[in-house]
Amino acid sequence: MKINEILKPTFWKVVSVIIVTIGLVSTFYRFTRGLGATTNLHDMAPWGLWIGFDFLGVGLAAAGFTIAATVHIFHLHKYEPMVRPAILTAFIGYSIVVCLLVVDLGRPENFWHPLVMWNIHSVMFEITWCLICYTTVLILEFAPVVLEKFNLTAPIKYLRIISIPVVIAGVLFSTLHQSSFGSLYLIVPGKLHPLWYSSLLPVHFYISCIASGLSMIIFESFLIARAFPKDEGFHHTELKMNILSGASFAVLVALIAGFLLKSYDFINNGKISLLIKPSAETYLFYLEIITGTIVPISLLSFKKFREDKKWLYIISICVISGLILNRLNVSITGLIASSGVNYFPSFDEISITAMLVVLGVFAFRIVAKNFHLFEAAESHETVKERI
Amino acid sequence: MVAVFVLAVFLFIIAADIIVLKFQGKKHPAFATAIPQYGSSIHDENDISIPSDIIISKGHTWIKFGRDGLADIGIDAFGAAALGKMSVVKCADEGKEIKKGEIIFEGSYGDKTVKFLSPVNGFVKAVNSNIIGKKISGPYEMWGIKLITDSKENKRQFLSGNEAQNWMKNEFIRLKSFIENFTPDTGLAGVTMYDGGKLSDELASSFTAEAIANFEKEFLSL
Repeated sequence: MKINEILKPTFWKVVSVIIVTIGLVSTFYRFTRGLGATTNLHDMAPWGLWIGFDFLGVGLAAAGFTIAATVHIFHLHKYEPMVRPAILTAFIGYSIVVCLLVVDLGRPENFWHPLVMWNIHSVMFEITWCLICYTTVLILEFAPVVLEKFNLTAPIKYLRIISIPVVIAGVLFSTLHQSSFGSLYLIVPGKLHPLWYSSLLPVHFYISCIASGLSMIIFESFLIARAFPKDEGFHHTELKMNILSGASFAVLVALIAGFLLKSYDFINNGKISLLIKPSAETYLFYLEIITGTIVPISLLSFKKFREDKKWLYIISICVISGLILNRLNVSITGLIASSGVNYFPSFDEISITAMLVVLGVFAFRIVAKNFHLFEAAESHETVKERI
Repeated sequence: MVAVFVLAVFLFIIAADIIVLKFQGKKHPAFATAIPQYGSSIHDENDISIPSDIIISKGHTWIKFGRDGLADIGIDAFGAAALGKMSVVKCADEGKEIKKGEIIFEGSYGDKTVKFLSPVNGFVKAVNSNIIGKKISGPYEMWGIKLITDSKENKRQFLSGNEAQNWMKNEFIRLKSFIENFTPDTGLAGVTMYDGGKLSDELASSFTAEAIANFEKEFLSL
């Protein structure tokens, strides 16, 4: 890449540089002055934007295990072009989560303690270990892309031998991890608002991450087509509507399953009356369900919307919006109500979060430009499968 | 309120990107004019039909085993038309032993040359000199080489009948993605690809050497 090309200013480059510069200053303040001075977190609201973003990042990274399992375990090779971008997205998503956790720890220098100080009765212990194990799996899954670049064929051969066990391990760790985020809130039945509290929270979290993870990969396909066009020398980055339509059908199935589960929870636990109780929580719950579930289900039920790229893009935005609202409602809105205090993130919390998201996008771009991230539109396996 | 704030930022960025693209005179892929990529193929129905006594190799050559123990080998309909009308420029030398995977034909699409690989081991008994330099029409009637080969060689690696026709159809679909990826001027291919016409003979001339190498790797390897 030529230096002139890198330095050529564009709107998003300028915005990114500003965000990262401000974020670095905020990070410096956070590590030198502490959480109290730089965040709006306090004893009544100890978990804020950063924990909410952890939930969000992990939820949106779910496409990594979903697509890997679809292709390598269920042998639906049609989805192969999605595997590498999905795994990279998952890896970057998890890396952002790790960074945010370190920033969020009161004593960040002790981040390694769970590795040696085991508390096997804590959900946090499970979450930490799933995070570590799944990040390791993602490194193993993505390693061939890096090794290919440097023509290191011998390690690739060994990685191929262990690829199926690695993918299965990834599915297991991810399943545990996604659901354990829900389990974390099972210990606060009196504190989490009943609109979101449910003994089925782990299942809710798991099902919703499948729908939103796949939607994220659909959304990302549009970003890839927009950011890596053919006239800049990229190949296989165009929209593959046959694949995206297939993935959108899986989103529909997951959304319906999630909606049925939620309906069962409300009926079985007598929570229907909460839906007509006017409060900020109720309105936010409606916004979450309508945006992230009802509208996408209604649209995805029609084949013409599933096969129309404009609608597919809009639907993916709706499902991702639903996940943003759900995870932040569970981790912030639903808890703040019972604490009786108000919480809104400080400037430093927002700028550090924005900086990490920008760095994540930057990392994706660097890898996409320098490694073989986008595979052939249709591999021979795909064709064989179709026949 | 945090949830609404984060959602608003997310939607604002998406909207800002669409506006920025508009200022740059570009269109977001989601709202660009739709091209019917997946509904149809770019093939003539005649290209898909394969005679029953012919088997097809995945390197786009065909084989017909004769009763005299010789195998006629030629280039299939896909190879003959993939990047425009193809002419055979070279065949393997007569009397030469050829192994599976070695070059058996060289063909040209305009000014670009591609190599076809031998689908079987054998000895070149005869070369059809009449096809050299001519554009292929009726590919399954124009054999290029007669090979002395073992007809009992594993035929499972080849395709025939409906299986071959389905595979051929999918090869043309794959080709459409390939052309869209590699042609610098989609309009040139577009006339033929999306409006139901045949591929332009000028198409290959717009391809780079890298694109031709990719074509050989993706379509002509065994």
